[in-house]
Amino acid sequence: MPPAIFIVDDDPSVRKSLERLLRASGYKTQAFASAEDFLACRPCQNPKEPACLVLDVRMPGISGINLQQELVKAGVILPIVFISGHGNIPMSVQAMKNGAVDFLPKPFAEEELLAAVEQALTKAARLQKETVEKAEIRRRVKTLTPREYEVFRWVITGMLNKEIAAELKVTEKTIKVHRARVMQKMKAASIADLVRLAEKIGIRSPLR
Amino acid sequence: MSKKKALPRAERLTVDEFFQSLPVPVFLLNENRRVEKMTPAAAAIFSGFSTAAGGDECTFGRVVNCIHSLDDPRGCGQTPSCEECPVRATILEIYATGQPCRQKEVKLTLGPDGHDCYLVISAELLALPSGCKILLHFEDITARKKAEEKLALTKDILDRAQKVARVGSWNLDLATNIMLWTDETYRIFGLQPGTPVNYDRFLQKIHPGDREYVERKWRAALAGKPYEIEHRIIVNGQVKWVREKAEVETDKRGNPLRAIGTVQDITVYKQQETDKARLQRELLHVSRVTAMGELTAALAHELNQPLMAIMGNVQAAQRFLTPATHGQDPDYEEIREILADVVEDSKRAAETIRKIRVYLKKSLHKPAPLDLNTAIREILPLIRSNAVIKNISLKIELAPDLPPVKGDRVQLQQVIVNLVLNGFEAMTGEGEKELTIRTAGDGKTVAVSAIDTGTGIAVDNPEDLFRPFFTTKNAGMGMGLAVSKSIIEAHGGSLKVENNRGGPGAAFSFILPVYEGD
Repeated sequence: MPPAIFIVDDDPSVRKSLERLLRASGYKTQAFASAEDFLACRPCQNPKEPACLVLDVRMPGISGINLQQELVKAGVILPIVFISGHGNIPMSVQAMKNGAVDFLPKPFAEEELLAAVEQALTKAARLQKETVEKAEIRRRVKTLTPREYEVFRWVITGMLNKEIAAELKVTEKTIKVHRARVMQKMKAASIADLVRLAEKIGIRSPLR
Repeated sequence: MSKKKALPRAERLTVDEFFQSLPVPVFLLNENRRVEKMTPAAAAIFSGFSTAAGGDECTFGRVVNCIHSLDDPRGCGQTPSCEECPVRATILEIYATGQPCRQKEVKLTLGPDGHDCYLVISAELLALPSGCKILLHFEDITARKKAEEKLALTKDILDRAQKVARVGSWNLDLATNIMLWTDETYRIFGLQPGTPVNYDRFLQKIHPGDREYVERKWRAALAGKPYEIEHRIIVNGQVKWVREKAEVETDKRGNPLRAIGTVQDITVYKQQETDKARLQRELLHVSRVTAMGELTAALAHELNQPLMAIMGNVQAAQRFLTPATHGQDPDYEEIREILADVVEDSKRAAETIRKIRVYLKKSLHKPAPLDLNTAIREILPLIRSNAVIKNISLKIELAPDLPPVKGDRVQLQQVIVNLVLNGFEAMTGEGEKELTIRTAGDGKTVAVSAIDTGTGIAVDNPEDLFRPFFTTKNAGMGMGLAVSKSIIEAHGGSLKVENNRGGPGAAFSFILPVYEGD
């Protein structure tokens, strides 16, 4: 299945030509005449494969910039390549700040578009991979008992079992048992591994 | 009558007869400070005292009365204290020192109302066989003093008022060529008050560029025309602006006798005017640039859309035609569609450009019957302020009864401003800087010229000047003359340039056909 590229542009000629160009370059495309149309397409906002959005800035109704804001708010992972009939600097700065991959002034050469699209797809792949990874880590954390979770948070501080035992007012042996269970459930090979997993989903030690 | 007869026999006149015939108030005092004799005029003072009740004359008499009683501690009863009375002190001093007293002016404050009274006292010591006598002469100068004070006050008020208003006044005696200036006039012209002045001195202070203008107006004023002008003067190397008004007084036969005028310092006002004009000019420029920017943005958007579509389509077609892409025959049907779309988008772009040209033509050209003299007068403030800044004298020679032309006022004004500013910029070096704006009509056409005294045209082909982006200046786009030429040609006229015959500088002029009704 080739990667999907969504195109949103109110100008039918431009829409058609961009679709053709991207199809000729081996991508699967889906075009929309307005931001509203795109928002109505639920599956487009949660693609199974890496995908990206080629988005016109100026459109009647919801503008490209506003659509970008909406998507960021909704947590949609869809890197955006902006295209503009006449872009101004403040507009492009705003777009880039909100995480756009590129901002192309029309008319642009195919190399520019294809390079931007490739970059966007790479970013999409990376973001998707991270999302899957995080979901897996969270799933593992959910298998921990409350006591194990507490010990987990103390272990990632780098403290010794003896010290954690004193902190939690239990025996060192108890801590040792809990720690082994945490390592097993989190599928961590070492303390360093455990710390990396915790950082990925933003679990903090009680000391910080 | 008998006295009159006796007068020629002066040698036989007795001292007493002589004394009695003196027409001024004189007292003869003896060594005991008692009045021995007095002239009739002196007696009149006392009688005035005895008969009149109050008044300056009477007061004078009362004071003089104290001569009889210089030892009386009550004195004359008129001054607050005899210790401070200058009349008393003067007389006592003469007795004490024997020194004569000549024309001594004293001031007295008299009466319960404390009014001022002025006397001039003269006294002479006479050593006569009968003893040491004193001749005492009084003169009451209160009335003269009061008049002088009033005059000084009036002058002070006038000077202050003139200073506040920045208006000075002057008076010129045409027979003697002597001018009288008020302090403010001196201040405006930067001269020390009291410096002798005449018309020529005044003329020297005038800015060289305005001298001829002022002289012409002055001659007209002497011939009975109103004199109300604004011109520049040079004060300590600085240019100042003044407004002048004058009236010429004539004798019964109409010959001018003298002139009275006012002069107002309007430098600040002129500066504000200049600043205002500059701001307006800048604002105009900014709004024009903004409008251009908006137009360009809209134009860019309208053209970029079809261009984008064309580019994408063509590049897609190129890819479809590369067999390596799919390893199969190109989809000719798709390519045919692409080419049809490219044709459509090209038409769309061409249409956009055509629409803009129509829009520009419609919005910028609003022809109407137009008097070019009026159009020039409207932009004169702008031009004048520019000339002031660049120190260029401006001559305006507008033909009377100029027939109207048909055209767009703003566009033609823009052309004139362009030509004038062009002339200004040609006069950056030394030498006399003068620009003449002239209109002329020959019945069929109307001509407007801007004639400078600058460097002249140094290019081989003057027509080059009117090509877009041609410029000899460091700053400038080279659009001014090109745009001016297209505007004039759109009005059915022509624009040309030639170097001035037998003189420095060049003349830019355009001619337009006379409007003869639609």
